[in-house]
Amino acid sequence: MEQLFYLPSTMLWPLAACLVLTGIHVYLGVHVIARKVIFVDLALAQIAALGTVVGVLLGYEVGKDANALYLYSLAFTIFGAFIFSVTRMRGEKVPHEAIIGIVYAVTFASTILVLSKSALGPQELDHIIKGELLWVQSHVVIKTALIYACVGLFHFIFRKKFMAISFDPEGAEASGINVRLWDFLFYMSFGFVITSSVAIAGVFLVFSYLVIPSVGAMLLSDRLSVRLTIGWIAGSIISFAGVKISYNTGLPTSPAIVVVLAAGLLVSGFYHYLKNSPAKLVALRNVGLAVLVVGIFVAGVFFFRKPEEDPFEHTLHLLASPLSTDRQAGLLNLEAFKDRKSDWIGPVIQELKDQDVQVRKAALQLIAKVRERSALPLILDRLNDHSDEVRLAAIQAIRILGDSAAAARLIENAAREQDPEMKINLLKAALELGNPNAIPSLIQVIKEGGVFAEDAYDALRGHVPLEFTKEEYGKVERWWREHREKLRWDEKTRIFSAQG
Amino acid sequence: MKKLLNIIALVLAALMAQPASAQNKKLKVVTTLSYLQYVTQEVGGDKVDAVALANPKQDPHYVTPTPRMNQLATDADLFIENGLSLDMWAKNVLEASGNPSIQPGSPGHLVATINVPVKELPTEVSRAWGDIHPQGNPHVWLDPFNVRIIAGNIADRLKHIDPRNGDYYQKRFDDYKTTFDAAMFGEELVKALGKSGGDILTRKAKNNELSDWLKGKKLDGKLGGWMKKAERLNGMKIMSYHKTYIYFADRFGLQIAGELEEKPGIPPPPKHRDAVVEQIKREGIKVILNDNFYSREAADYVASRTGAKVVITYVDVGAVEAVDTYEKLITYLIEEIDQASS
Repeated sequence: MEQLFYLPSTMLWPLAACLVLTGIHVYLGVHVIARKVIFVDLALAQIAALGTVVGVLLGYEVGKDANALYLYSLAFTIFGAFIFSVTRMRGEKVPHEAIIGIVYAVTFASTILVLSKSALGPQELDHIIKGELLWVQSHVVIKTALIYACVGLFHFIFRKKFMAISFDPEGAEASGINVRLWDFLFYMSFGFVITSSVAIAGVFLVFSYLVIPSVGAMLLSDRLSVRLTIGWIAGSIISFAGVKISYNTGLPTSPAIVVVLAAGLLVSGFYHYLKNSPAKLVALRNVGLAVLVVGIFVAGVFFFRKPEEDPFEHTLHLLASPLSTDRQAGLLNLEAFKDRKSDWIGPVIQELKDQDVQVRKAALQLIAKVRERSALPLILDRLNDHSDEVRLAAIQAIRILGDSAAAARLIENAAREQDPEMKINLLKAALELGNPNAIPSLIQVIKEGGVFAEDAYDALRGHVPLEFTKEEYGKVERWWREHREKLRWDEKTRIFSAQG
Repeated sequence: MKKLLNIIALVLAALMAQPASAQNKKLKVVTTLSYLQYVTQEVGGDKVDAVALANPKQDPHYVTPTPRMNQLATDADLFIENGLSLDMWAKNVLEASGNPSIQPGSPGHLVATINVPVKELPTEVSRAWGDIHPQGNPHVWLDPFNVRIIAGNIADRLKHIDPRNGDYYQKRFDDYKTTFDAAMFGEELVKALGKSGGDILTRKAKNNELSDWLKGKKLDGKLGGWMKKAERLNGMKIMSYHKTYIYFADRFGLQIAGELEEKPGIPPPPKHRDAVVEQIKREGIKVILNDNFYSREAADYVASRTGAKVVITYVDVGAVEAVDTYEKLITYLIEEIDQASS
């Protein structure tokens, strides 16, 4: 039981933010639905965002100049409130929702235009939609709560006027209320709230808090005070559940809350339907049928999922892909299918001639790993590859797969090689394949001195039956001249010795 | 009168002949990102006019093509993109350009990152991973060695489509490689190893055997450039917002301890956030890298709970004046991280 209500301390501020949002938005939602301006928050949020990006365009920086940017977005929002209050028409010749939609579309487009010139870029739009609930900091929540308390107090003091203009604008006008002025004050305070809410929770979560609890409560009661109470209680419980589910399952927080809110709405919808239908059993059967239909639909969608390709087939397809990264990935994956080598070794050998350096290199490494000797002629061709990375990989593959004939090719290439380090690699590989003809070339490098003499000395030492220092290369030279015809390589000791 | 007509005819003929004389005509190259434009101009010199499409301040993943971009592509002789599913928007520009000579597969189209060793290739044969990064991590250019390969790819392609200036491009590429290797390892060290010095040092560094090898040769005192500068960063653990820096980190010995976002572009789950905070405290991580175009909320939240510093980083050449060349961009990253950690 305790487990059920546990939330780590790090989730308390996001939860607090949700509760603050529930408090103000359930109340505002009642107004918004009565006025039939469901999408006004989207439009106001977008106007606030436009204010921010214009501020950034004019030189203020996100993070550094937070206050200036807030004032920019607030100024834009107040301007938006002004537009909405003057465009509300008597008799609804043009529905207010149409104006709101137009304002939303135009501000969204303007935001994109401004963003194309600014440092923020399109992900700022993404940011406005998703919000940053998870990263919200304590001081932001407290500040927001204070702002909302002020707005709430303002609405509480003038509740009669606000209710009148939302629920009965004609009657309000007849009773002498300045509807335009109070409309402006309503949208301004609304804009105040939206500016802060969207910065914390993102457009879609704010929209959900505004509309879903109010609609759900509407289904359950006609009395305003009851609706508000239900909205607040259910909204708080659902906020906790959403945050908890997000924490336990690892799903992103804001979308999780939205989906849980929707689930709550479904429950209240069913309750409303059952309560108001005259034949309860029939209604219950209908609900059951509805659940069944949804179940079949979901099962059907799942049934037609893309069948998973056999991993091996998938890997073979990767090898034939036009993308070089796919071909590399395919080569890397094949290591897991060593037991089916005969099925894939053919295409892999062909990859030695691939146009991409990294694919050729990966193919060389794979062939060396599975010791496929039939690839040797093509591997030897790679010694002339124009990429030094591939040449190095080819040398390493030849060290594993090569024979004395291959070693002769290494020595041949070493004679032409301009790069001293690569030359030593070639000679060292030839030497370790048992070809003694690499010895004089290595001695030559030691003789020349310089940086690479040491490497050549290291390559040679240990493979001849002599003790000598770098400067005593003459010793080896003499030994080589005497025994060159009858040197034998011992695979076990990895030393050349003179036979007979 | 006849004389005058003759003169006019001659002038007209000369004027008409002008565009045909290819000597004066520069190759028009359009690149998606600014670092590609910078490298192309370095290699192409005064035979090439390179222009980049994306605003370097913005996220290279998401660029909205404009009519101006399409026009540039229509007139282009060569189109260069990063590839690896980073600048996917290039496809729209290519299609809208109606320019048949720069379509994928033709000599006028180059994916700059061919031949580059790509990290985080989707090796696990599973659908769940395959879709997130279908071609591995695309931020390859933050490793200078990869830009060395990319410059070679660009030089090869310029030689191919403009063979008359082939020698010129080869010479410019060789010169660029020389200055590049000097920036990486220091001029003295590269020279000490002879003509193939840059290649040898690059190979050694790629195999992570550079410092031992240099010590063995008593050449470690000669190391300069970025590799020397970055020695102070060796082994340091850092956090980043997005997986932008794995190439940079691997090259200069930094360890990326993790990312604030768990999957690219998706808000992280709460436990991931808490785990990151715990990890930073436990491992004493001092630096969080935040690309300039990502919002700072996440980094600021983590910083406020851990005392780590947020470094705002730029990923493309020319995002701000301080990074208006590729060399300055790398220097900037090394120095900013060094400062934040000390």
